[in-house]
Amino acid sequence: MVDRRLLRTVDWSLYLAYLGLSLFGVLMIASASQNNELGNPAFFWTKQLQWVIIGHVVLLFALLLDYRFFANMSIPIYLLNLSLLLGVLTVGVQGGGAQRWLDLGFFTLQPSEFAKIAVIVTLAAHVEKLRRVDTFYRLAPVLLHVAIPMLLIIMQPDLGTGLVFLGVMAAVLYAAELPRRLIVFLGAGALAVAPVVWSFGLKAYQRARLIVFLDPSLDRMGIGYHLTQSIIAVGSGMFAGRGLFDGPQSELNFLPEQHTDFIFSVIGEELGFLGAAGVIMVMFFVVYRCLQIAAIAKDDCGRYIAVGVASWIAFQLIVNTGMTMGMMPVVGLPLPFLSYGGSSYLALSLGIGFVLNVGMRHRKILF
Amino acid sequence: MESFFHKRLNSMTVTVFVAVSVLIFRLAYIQIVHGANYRSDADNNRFREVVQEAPRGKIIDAYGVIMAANQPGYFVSMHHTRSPELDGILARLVGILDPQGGDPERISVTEFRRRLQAARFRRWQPVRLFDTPLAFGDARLVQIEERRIELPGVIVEVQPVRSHPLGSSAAHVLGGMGRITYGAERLRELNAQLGFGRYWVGSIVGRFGLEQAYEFIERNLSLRGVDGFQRVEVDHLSRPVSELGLQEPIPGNNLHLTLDAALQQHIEAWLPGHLERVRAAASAAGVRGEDLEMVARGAAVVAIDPRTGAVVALVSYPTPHPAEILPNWSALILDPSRPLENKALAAFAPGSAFKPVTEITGLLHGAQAAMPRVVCTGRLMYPGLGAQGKPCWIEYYRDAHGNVDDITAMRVSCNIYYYHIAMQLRTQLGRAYVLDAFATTASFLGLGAPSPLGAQLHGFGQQSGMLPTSERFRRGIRATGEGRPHDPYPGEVADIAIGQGIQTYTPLQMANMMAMLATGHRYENYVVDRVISPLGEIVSQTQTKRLASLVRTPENPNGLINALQLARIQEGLRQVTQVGRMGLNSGTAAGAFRGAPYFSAGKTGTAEVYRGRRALPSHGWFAGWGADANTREPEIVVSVLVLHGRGGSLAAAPIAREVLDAYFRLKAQRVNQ
Repeated sequence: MVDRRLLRTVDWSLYLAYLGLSLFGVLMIASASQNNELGNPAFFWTKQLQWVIIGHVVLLFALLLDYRFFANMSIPIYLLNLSLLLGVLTVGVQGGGAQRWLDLGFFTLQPSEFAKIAVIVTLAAHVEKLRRVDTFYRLAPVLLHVAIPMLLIIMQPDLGTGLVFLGVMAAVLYAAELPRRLIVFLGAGALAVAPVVWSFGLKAYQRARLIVFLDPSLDRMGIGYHLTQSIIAVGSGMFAGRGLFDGPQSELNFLPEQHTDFIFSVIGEELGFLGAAGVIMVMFFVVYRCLQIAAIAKDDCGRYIAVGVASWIAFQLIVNTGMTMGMMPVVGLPLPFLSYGGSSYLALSLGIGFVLNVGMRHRKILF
Repeated sequence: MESFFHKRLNSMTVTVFVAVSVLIFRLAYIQIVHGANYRSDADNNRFREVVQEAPRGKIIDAYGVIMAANQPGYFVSMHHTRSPELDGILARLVGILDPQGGDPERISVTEFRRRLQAARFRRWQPVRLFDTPLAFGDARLVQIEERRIELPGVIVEVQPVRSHPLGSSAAHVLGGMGRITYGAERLRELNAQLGFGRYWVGSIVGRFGLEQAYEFIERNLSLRGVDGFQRVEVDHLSRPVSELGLQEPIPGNNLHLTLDAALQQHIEAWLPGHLERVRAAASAAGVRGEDLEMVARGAAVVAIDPRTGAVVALVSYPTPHPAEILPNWSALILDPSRPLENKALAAFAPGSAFKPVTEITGLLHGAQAAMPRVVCTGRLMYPGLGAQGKPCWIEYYRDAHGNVDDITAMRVSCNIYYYHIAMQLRTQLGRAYVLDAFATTASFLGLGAPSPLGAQLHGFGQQSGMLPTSERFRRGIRATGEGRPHDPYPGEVADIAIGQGIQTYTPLQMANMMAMLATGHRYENYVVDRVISPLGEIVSQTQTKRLASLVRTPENPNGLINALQLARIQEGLRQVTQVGRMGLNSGTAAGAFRGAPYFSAGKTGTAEVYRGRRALPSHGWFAGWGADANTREPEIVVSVLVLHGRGGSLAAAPIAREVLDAYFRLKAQRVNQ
């Protein structure tokens, strides 16, 4: 199935960055959850380690078959994705005020995470098939393609993940040489719709979350408190950090969601500027490699897949770290590869797998 | 085509690069530029200081008996919790503390919730739910320990509380304490007043007596110690997770008093029975109704050491328990017997106990030279005294004293003798100045001026007393109906001479006067002999301070009389406690002191009291001293006042006898030991 020669063309630097971030994530989760409410310090990091192992299986699965195989499966993938999202809304498990999970017995699946990679792959195939997206009539089906799963996710409600779709779609369309006038048209449309969505589409607490980062003192005891504690944690790391496993803000649970959405605060606190800036730069390297692979891809589908995954990772990196530093709204987006969570990690593994796949098969294989 | 795609890829790369750069700049800004600030924020987040109350200094009597100390108090407190079960926990606790539900003011879920809510900004500190400490071994404590699982967050805190091993003894000296329950503003005021250390809501504050006087004083003298702190690390719910350093509390300084607790307690124990007998006697004598109600409802006994001015005993009856003063404040305030008034420092007309002052005033101005003897016929008719003249007290018993000299006059308290002095002085000095002569002598003997002791025994009232100056007559005296300004009439001067009229003195002042008559000297009163630091060093030792001497000598030109004159006064005072020749003309306190195995001297007094024109039962006074029978060196002065006791001889003198008996008995016991 796979030629040995193909292995020589694998982008090992991207894989090593992925592996390094994954293992670093396990370490940071271990540090962040050593005083967790379950009373078992090993619980979260051992689980995350399992996800890293399973992630490799998933990655190989995404790598070994030609990505065109998945592109050709677009319709079943898309329908499976929609049915999972509908399933969440009907028989999903509630938690934290939202309904985001499907209980599979051995695993509570978060379909919105897999929806990201599913939409990226199917969107890539779709846009490739359209050849050119230069008129509104060609653009409309693309908008619809993204809007349906996105709305299903926003209804959970999960605003942050929904916004990832917008970012991914924008990046793919941009890469697909969307003409300037359509870009202006879309931008203007978004500006026109935004106030309406703001007033009628969003609930009060969602609005509050989106603006509280501008002034955390608006909400001292709730989100604002978490935000303040997060900034204190990052800042108190100073240049070299408090030392791994020694960050008081995280050890004493001042940080909210510290092994998931706020893992970056723990990194900032315990490893200081060196560690935190290092993590951001490695992530940027991942994004950069994805975009490089997009540049050499053998076809448009591969290109869009790579661009989509790159924009996905970049979007979550910027929003998540920006959030922990008080520059971005508090929306529940995990930090790619590092935050605790099986669905997020496995979906990203699939994404990296597909990008490696694109990079590996960038030229005609000569038998 | 190809290049266009690459252009767009490049611009995407640049966009992400710019965004990432912004992130890294932001990171540098908060971690490197402001990192130190955030680090201190983080440390403030997690370190808290839990107050460890310092034990208060002890109060100890002259012989080492502890009068106020500390004992562990067991308080029911609770850690802050976010348990949704809170109401259930509190309800179970209420069930244990007050199963009958009889005290919903202090023990109820609502009240506990209110306290937790009020303390929500100090989450690391357990909140005291119930201010009354439970005693060791209280069944409720045992229940709380046993049902610990059902009461998460509930703890039993051990904090020092004031204990009074002698009960209510000497409450007017020791004073009482309160706990701060009020808001931030009052707290700031108190902290400013304190000058060292700090108060917290829940801190103990001395509110009366020495507890207050030695609270707001320099730190090295204060009963209040310096609270310690336990530095704890807390988690995000401010629950303590580990204990770091402990700054040990520094206990307060110990006060060593001049009081003799044994004597004090003996008087306190004996007094109520005697007052009961006085009331029974009044009833037997036909006193009825409202008058009977007020007989002997209050009394004061002061014993001082005439050689130093030190207060040996100070009893003001009735006496509240120090721990009950604040809790029962409103009831005590309304009590007609005024338990919160320190009667030893409250001023009353002195009655005949004033007569030594008249005697000295006369000697000073040579009045007696004109009248070495007088004849008491029971009533003195004198120009200006009106058609009725002025009676001697003995006239009431259809009797007269006959021929009296200075010593006899003192012994039998003959009014006529002292009227004569007053009239003679009025002639000599003029009606405008005669009373000032009395006031000057009284003042010299320590009467009519506030004592520094009064400032120390804060909160129970102190009156300075009033001297009978002419100036007050010239201002007009509304109380006697003579509102019109005038020079004192002869009758008014006569009244002053026998201790009536517009003059009031405190039992403590009368004790000082008697000390001066006994020894010739007067000293400043004090009750705190020394202050000892917790390490055992003497921080402060009170020096005795001689204020005045009575006998005129070359070294003391201001003295009022010569040694012989003083000796005659002392002889007169001695005879007050003696039976007369053939049982006739006995001293007014002879009955009370019959058979006393020591030297005793003193003066009775019966002060008439009026409400409007109506005569109330008179106050009874006795002031005198005791000395060793052989050496006759005065060593204890006692001054007794029984409010509405109907006379000094029967109500007050027996108390003085009992005090002196107890004093010499205790002295003998201590020598034997």
